Amino acid sequence: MERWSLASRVLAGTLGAYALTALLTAALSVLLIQFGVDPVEAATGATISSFAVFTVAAMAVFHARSVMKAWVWLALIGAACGMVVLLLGAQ
Amino acid sequence: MKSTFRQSMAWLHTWTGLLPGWVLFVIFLFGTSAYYQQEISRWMRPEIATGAVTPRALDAADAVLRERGAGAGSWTLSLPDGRGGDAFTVSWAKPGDRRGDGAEVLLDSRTGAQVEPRDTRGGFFLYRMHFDLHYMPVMWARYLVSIAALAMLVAIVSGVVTHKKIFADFFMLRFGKGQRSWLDAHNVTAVLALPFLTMITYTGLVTLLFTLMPWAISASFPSQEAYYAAAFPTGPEASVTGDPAPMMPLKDLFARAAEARPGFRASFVTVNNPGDAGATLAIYPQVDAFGGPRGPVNISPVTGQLLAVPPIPGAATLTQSTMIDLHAGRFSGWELRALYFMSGVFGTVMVATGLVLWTVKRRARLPDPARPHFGFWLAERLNVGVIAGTPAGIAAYFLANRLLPLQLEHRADWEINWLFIVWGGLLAWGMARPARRAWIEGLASCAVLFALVPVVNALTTSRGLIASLVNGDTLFVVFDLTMLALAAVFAFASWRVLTRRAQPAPRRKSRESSEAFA
Repeated sequence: MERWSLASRVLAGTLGAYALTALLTAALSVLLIQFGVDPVEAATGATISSFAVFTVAAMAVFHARSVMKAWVWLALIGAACGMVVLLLGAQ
Repeated sequence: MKSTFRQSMAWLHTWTGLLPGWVLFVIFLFGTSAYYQQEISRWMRPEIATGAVTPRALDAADAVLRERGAGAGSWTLSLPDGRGGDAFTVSWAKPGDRRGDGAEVLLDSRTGAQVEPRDTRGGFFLYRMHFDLHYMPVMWARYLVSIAALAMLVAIVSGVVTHKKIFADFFMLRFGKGQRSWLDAHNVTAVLALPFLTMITYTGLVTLLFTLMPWAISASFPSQEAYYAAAFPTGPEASVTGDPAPMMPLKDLFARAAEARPGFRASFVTVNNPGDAGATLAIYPQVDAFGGPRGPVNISPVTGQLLAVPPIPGAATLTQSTMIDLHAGRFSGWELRALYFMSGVFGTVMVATGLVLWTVKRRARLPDPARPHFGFWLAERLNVGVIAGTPAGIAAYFLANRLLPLQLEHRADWEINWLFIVWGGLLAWGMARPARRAWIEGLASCAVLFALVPVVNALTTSRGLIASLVNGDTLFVVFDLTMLALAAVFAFASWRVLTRRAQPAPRRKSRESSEAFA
């Protein structure tokens, strides 16, 4: 049980945090473009900040009281960002 | 997971530090040497003179291209900067050939006379190794390096959180106290260089920006190509008109570029369709100005008119290029460069002591230290093979540069192969021997190989240490002395392991802070 919980947490803190960062970065970029920022600037700026986002996300997952809670938060924020990308992103 | 924030972060610090640790050591070691890549190249190509390209040499290059490159589809010129290490290289290719397929001539950057330096990749290889690695596709290497750097960023931030008494321990370095000393050394090197380490890791990720994180491009552009077309607009399209037209002298075209952008110094030049009325010329600037422009100046070599001015970068693009400048430090003079180098050494030592600390801490708790479990055995042996093996490989690279016959086929490749033969040899040696013996012998091999570099240099060139001292050849003197200093450091380390008595296991709870790194 303990072992599965740790495996789940490691997965959430690496691939989960990465997926969240990817979606957040993409959403930030398309939102900036929506507000009139040049697309190259928007993509570059969003990606520069992505590494800080990943660091915070990974640390939050590894500190979360329960792994389930961490997964739920990752899924909720990820889904919100995914919606933004689907609605505003380039085809 | 663990009860307090510090405990969970200590756990995170341990594992994000250990797992990519050996890759990080390699990145730090080679990256640190890259601050002196031009100087290393100068030592590795003793045949060529140092200095920025003179007008005389530029005229000579112009003459070579007009005579031997007549009818070529393109010309290129690569100009060394004042730090030297590379020859002034001109090349030409037939229409339809890719760049590099044609003929190439190396010139002395001062006189313009043709030179034939030994075949070596010099300091440039050490620089490329720190993010392209070797014997593997470049993209895989960059993914691996980016992942290691991202883990390092998490390790840095969680390490700071873990470290409760960060400023008290700043002044704390106790020698000869076993595990406590390793922790002190790890803390001192990390804390002293902390701003540098944070900067170098983050800006390192930014140099490989879209490698690990291409998703903003995917979401904002129809394709990768669309992004690159928008971000790096190519110059005006060159079209062959079929009408021959004489080209202005390169010297005058360089002067035009300097008029268009004050302070402009050329580093790389391409000419498309030379001799045709529709010829185009692009001159790229030297990259040693902090925050300076990177785009080329495009000029018509027939009329001398400016064809396109690169777009003014926006805030994010400027941030990106500034971060890359900060990372590479190409703008720095010798004082700042020395600081960069020292900080890099601290980073390398920080990674190494962190790796050793992991094993020292766990050795004390092994149920049977003579028969450790596989994970411990592997970590301990990788430590020897990487921490002692990699520097030994670099020393072998320098030795191969002096010892391999000049006519050898693929000579430059063999210099690199020797780096990995020696490194791989020590890695295997470290696996085969008892751990303590492996450390003693590995570190001693490093000392011997580095000590041999000045000796072999004196025997194979006319620029040995004594001759260099007499001639006031500062670079060769400093290089040889650095090799001797490295030999002394490794000899001292080997001697310390040899004379050290086995440390008793630290009593638990003896110091609270030794519990910090779980």
